[in-house]
Amino acid sequence: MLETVTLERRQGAGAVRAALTYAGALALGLALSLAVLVAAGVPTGALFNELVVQVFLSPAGLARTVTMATPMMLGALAAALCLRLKFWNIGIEGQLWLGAICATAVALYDIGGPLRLPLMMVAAMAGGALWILPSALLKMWLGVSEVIVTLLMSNIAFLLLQHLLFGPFRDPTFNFPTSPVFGEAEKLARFGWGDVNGGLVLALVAVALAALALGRLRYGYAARFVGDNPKAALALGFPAGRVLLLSILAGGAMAGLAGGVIVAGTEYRLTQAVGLNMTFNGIVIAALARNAPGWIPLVALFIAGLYVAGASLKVFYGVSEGIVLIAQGIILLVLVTAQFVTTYRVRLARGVVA
Amino acid sequence: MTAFPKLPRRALLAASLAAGLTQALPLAAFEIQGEPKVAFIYAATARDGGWNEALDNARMAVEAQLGLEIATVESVPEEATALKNAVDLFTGRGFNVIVATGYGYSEGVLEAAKAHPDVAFVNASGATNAANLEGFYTRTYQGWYLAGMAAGATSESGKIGIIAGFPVGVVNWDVNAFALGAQAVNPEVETTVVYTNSWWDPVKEGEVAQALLDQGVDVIGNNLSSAAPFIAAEKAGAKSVGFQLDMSQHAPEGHLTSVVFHWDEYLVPTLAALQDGSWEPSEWGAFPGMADGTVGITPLSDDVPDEVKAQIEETAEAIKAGTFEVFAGPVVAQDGTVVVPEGEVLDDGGLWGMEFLVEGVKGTLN
Repeated sequence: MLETVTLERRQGAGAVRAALTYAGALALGLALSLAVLVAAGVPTGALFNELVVQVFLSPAGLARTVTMATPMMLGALAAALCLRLKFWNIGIEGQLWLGAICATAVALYDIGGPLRLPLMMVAAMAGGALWILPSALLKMWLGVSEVIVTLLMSNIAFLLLQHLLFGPFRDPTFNFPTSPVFGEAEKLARFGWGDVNGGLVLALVAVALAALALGRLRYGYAARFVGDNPKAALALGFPAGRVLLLSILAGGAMAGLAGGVIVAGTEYRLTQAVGLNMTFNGIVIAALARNAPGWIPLVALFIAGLYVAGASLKVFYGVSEGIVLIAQGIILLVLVTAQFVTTYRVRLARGVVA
Repeated sequence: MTAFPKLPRRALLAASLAAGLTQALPLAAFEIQGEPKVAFIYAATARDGGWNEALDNARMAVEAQLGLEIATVESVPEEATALKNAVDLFTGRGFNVIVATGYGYSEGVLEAAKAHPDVAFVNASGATNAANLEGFYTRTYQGWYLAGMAAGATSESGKIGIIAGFPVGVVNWDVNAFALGAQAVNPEVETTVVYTNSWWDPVKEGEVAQALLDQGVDVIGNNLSSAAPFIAAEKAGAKSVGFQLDMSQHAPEGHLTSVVFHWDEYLVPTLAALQDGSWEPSEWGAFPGMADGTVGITPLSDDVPDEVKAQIEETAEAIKAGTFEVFAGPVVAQDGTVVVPEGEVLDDGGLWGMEFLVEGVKGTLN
């Protein structure tokens, strides 16, 4: 007697059911993460204070969370815009570094006069788009896996970043591998609330534009079609190539802008640590938001909150920062599993298999 | 505490960086509100077997001697935002003394000091100072000169090597002093330097050590913290020189000596001064040396010939007494230019800004 396992796509998995599964999975993921924290030695009584009050309710804590979430929104857009077309952008960090490099170059070489700051942001987007371009073209022309190319392009970007920081961009004052500090005209404005800065406006505008383009415009429809079935889309006369390229470049540009927002909004200089972990964070946020731009700010806030809480857990309870990644991983795993179960039905068919 | 010599170049730095804050501030005692609540911020793990561990040992000495309980946080990247966030977390919960521990924190700690004018900051190997911030380091080149003498005397191939982190002044002076010390006992010795451009990369450090050994180097100085170079040297039967802590455990056979920090000699008096309200941060930073006990070398191995041992001890005494200077002219750079003319001594500004390698050193500053 053999058993065969078949997966059947559930027909008409209702919105209510999907939402309930999502919420349930989120709660389960959080509960498991809390258990890990308690096991790591965080007193139960401190959990609410550290994870909720200090992160979302206290003004200073919320400011830290929002600041951290700002580039994450853009990093998540970089993942989501590409993922919509089944293009796995594993090189968000590389595009981010190029964006940061280009923005820094505009600042250091005093380009653009009174338009310096806008030019920095445009340069950042151009840098990110430029860096993802080879992966897009190689994929479209030769069918080379974008997973490999985007990932390896990140390594090249990091070497370029190091080269610049140890060479032409190095701050002569300290001789440490960071760029000189930007001038006042090269910094995004702050709102007097922690380090929250103009980057937040840019990120929210980008999110709104992406939501609009995907939800309301013809482009969004084409993008979904091309992502699901490029050949059919082409056969039906959709400009599949153009839609694909446009989406990927937009994704790269968002990663680049994240780099620009980090250097001009919080760091005020280029360093080797700019945007670390952004690839992972971007993909996690995009996945949790199910690639819907509208949900990205909320999810980014949640993930940023984990990081901010992680920082104080590290400082006050000696818990490794790795715990944040573990919590992220747990929540993501539970959600993905739940999503799978709502989408598919597992059926055991008993019978003789020839 | 001891009045340490002043640093002209750091004065400029402090003036340009802290403009608006330290302007026209007379040297004054800085008082914290209430009892000191102290936090140490490390860039890597505290028990890293090197740089941080030397500071962490001093932290424990402070706790024991002054009866303070000190909070620590590890692995805070040497990045202004990361440091400021850590500082904000501490100050937000009432901490009023922050001990940062890295050159790479220099700018971030200055920004934090400006943002929290009521909190006292000190930063190990920091290059910034303010009314409530004192960078401190020690004249490690003095120890490295002595270690270089031991290396030069025990090398049979006439080739010694040194593995270093970033090519910044505080590192370059160790490299140059190591070479000059070796040349003092063996004028023909060739010193190869390799910069790893990292403070902590055991794999790379091990590989670099192996590459040096393959080139015929038979004494390896490790200016970094990991055990990898010692293990490589020991395996090849080569000699080694350690830094920061006594590294003899990693190379029981070949260990010649280690240049070691005694940060308690600085931190205990400094925190005691903060406790009783008499702390006067030097606007040029604290820059003690062997004379103050903040740096020294561990007992020399028996592989060092007796007459060289005697010579090293004599030199050590002369350094402490101020009658011998490592960077006394003539100091000649790799390309043959005279950096310090005969009869002059490189001043502290020149030390901090040291961007040359001396004659007899093979390698480049990157």
